[in-house]
Amino acid sequence: MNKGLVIALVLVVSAALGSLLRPHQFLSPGPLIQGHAKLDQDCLACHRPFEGPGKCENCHKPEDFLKKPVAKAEFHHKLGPKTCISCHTDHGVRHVSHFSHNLLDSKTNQDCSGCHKAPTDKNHIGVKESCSACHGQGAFKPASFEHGKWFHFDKNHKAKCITCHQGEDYTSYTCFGCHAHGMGEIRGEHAEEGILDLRDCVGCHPSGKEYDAKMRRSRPVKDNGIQGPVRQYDRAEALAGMSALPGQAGTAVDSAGGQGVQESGGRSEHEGKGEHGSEHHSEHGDDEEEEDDD
Amino acid sequence: MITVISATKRPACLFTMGPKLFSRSVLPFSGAFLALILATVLIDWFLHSQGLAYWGRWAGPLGVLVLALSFGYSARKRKFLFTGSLPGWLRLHEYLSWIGALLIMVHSGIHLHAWLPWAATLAMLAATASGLMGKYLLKTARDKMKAAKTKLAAQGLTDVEIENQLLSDSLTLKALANWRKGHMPVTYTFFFLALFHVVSICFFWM
Repeated sequence: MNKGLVIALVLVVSAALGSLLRPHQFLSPGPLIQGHAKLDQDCLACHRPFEGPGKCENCHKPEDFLKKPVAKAEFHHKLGPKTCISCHTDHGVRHVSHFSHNLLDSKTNQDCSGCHKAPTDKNHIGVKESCSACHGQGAFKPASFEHGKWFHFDKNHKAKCITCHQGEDYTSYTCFGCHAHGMGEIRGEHAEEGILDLRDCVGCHPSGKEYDAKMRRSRPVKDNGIQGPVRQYDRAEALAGMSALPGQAGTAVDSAGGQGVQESGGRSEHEGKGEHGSEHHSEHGDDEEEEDDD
Repeated sequence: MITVISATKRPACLFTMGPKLFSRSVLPFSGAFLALILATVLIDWFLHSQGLAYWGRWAGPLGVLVLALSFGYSARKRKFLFTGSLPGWLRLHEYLSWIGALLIMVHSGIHLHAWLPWAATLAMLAATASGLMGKYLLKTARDKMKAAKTKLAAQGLTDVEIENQLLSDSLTLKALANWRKGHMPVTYTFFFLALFHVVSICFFWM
């Protein structure tokens, strides 16, 4: 008999016997999760021959889900007629391997916070819009926040986040984190135009260019207690698709100057914590700024 | 490869063979095999980068289908099929085997746990390498026969005498016969291991 055929026969018979006697080694796609580890060598505890895995309910009673926290119970009850293995896999590392939000009904699908803990970092303060405005359902990151609604990055402004948003606070920005925008350099030129408020650069220069100013006068600044070049802004407004920034022509000139800018951790010490929204039409100047600082 | 070359009348090895032999024989053989590995890595990377790794599972059945089609050559050779020329079926066998092996490799990915699928994959790679070597041997045999025929014709022998002479030149034919003794068992091994794998999938996951 051909020696090659003998070797082939030995290999094939070994594989057949191995698959029958030690299926967890020859056939299993991976070790079971910790909770099911004791079933590692008992494939038929979960698998029905020629039907697949589907004996979950033998151990996990559906009514047990009612004992779970409400959100979790509701989540599972609203999945419809799908089986456990539509989402869960027991072999390998990840227990939930192929969950799709499409399995949920539309109402549950839109209630992100029903299952996910809402982020509380500074980047999300004041955001009232749906998570889907920035985030996809595939993964939390990357998010698709349209920065261009607030400030368009041109070739001269390929800056790192921290250059403008200092202290990891994305609710405020400063243009004076960059060497090109010294307040002393621009004060004179703006004063000629009657612009004394130097806190909200983007209000007139949405692309950071000198000549893209929509108006030659500064718009009123929301009374958020900010003194100096750092201004709080409302991201929710941006997300709502606000194409024009608040405060346009015909508004009073705010004269809260930026003199006395002191960089502390990249931010002005004049920064306050006031609420957004109420308009600030004060005419105070540098002196008043000093007072506020106190 | 070295064994094959030494089976010719003028022994040679990888280090002494001429650049022509290297570029015409060794390079296409090893190139096709390396291309298989490279294409697998690229497709696997692409599927993972696009979040489509799950598609790899469906490459398996598709690969089996393509490989099954490639065995039309064996069916034609054994006269289970009567359409198409044998050389045409051989070429189809070569191409489809490569494509089928690629799909199976993508299907396999790098999931080192179950022994049976990996044994089947290794057997398939061995069968593919063996097949490529057979392709090289066949090409060598054809070239040798052609050269011998030309030489004998120049000596003034008739066609019948040439055929008789060539039949006695058994070295090349012997090399091909020996190759078949290796290729067929490897192919059978792959076939049965793959069959076991498919049956086990149907048994546990159908």
